[in-house]
Amino acid sequence: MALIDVENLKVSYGDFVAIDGISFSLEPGVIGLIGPNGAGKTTLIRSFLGFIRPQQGKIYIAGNELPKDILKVRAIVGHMPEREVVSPKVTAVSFLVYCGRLVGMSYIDALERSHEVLNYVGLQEARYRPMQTYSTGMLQRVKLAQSILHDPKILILDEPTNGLDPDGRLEMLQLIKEISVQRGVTTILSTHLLPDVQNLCSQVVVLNKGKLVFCGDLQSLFESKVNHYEVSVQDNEDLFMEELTRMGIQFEVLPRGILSVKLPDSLTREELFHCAKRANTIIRMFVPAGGDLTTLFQSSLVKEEV
Amino acid sequence: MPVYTFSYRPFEGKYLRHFRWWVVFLEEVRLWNRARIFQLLALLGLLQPIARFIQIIMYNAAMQDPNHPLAPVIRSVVWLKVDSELYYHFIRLQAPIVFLVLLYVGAGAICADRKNRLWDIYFSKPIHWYDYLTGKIFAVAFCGYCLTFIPSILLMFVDYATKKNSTWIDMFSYIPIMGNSFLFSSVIVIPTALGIVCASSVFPTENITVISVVTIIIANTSLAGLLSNFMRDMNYMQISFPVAIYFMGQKIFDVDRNIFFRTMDVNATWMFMYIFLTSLICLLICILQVRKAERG
Repeated sequence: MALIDVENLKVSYGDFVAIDGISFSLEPGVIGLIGPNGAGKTTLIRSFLGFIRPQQGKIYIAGNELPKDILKVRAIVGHMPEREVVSPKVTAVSFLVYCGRLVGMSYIDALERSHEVLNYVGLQEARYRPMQTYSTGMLQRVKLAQSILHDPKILILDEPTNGLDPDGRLEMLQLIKEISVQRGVTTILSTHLLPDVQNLCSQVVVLNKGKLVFCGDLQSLFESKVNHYEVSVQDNEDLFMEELTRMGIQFEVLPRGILSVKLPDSLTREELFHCAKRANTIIRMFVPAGGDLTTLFQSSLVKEEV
Repeated sequence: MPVYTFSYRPFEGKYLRHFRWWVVFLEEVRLWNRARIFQLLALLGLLQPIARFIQIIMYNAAMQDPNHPLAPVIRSVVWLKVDSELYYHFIRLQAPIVFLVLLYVGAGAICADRKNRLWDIYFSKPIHWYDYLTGKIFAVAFCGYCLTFIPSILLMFVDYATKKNSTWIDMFSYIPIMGNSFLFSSVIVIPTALGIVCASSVFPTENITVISVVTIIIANTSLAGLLSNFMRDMNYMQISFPVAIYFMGQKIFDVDRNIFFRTMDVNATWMFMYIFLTSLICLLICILQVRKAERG
């Protein structure tokens, strides 16, 4: 069984369907959860934590079925919520000790561990200050600290770089990389920032309007784009497409007159220029398709809408 | 931000699986214990126990020494007498300060966590809604007992210790008074704590919670007064929650001096059911609110 298994999951808020019957499996590693606003990312994360009871479907995390084994799941999961969280009059150390005790640590263990993780996230100087005096970046670090306090097997980070300046963002990403890649903690990273996902993640789940657009290995996604180009011609587009069809070349029409062309293994990219010559036109744009995650993400969303 | 490569290590300690509500209870007590306003209110709440302490010592000293200069004065003042009624009056007079203190400690019990979005973090830990709610309610109720039942036990001990020639068998004579004190304290503390925590789970901020609770109590008592005046029937006063609580106290201690209650055709079972059902409704609202946050 995979580390996370989702089977036919459906979550609704009244008549609004937030997640519409999605199924996927995730292996240990760093997993990017991406999608536009309202795609269902936060709903999916809240379902993993048992905050939302699905209308149908099942979720298994490390072999534990939700919501039956919810306490077992919460014991092995660390969650960094998206929204700003602050316990105003409490110091970061006291807050983390309380979180540790809620997990089930003894007071001594919780205190020791709190100092360790606060050092780790770079709050060693400010840990005795009330949290109401913290900046947004410091509160983000407190949220990260409480999520790794109990040494979780799975770490769920919901928009971890929100509200951080460029330096803070890089430092946060460095920390996440350290925890996930070097310490071997499976991390689910929900973000809008696709370059972060591309740099950190080995697997990716793409959601749009509550539906699963893509789930799998990020590397394979890029490999599937070998011999895949985006092309536009100056005129005689119909003739060009006829030529492509005659040659047995698959293509899709994208917005703004761009063709997404997949060449068979037997043909080289020069063949596209021959087709253009036969159609009595010239190629105006010729780029490899899906060079980065942003392009892939946009093209998969466009595909969904078409 | 420096990354301390060697400062993050796997946790190898043991996890405690039970009594998570105790952690919530301790944290809640720790939080309000350090607040200046709470310390001030607690001091105010300690004034009566100190006065009663002096009263018991003076009374016992005067009663056991006929030659004591204060003996004739103390004997002639009825309300200085130390008997079971003293504990009734002690708890009755503590009720307003208990209400104020519980309002302070309970108003933010739940709404502050919700307002500061702490539920997202707390409920991502392995705790149930009932651990959280039990800890919160126990903390508020504990504070109430600290101002009513616990001082009354201490006063009983002072009374026992300052009586000369008292044997250990005399201690048993305090058991019924202890029971009555606990029951009357519970009638004051539990509905008040549940009512305030319930308001805290419903309203968005501490201030709105305080204003709402005070308004509800005033409206409830005013309604009872208006109805009893319009209908020319004092029985309608039973609708008032504070009146119902004081009446229960009189029944528990078997004190029947108040002319006000003699004008009513009061049924103790009805009063108890009124208080019990109100508390139950408050508890159910708390459960629904917190359970919804934890389980969706």
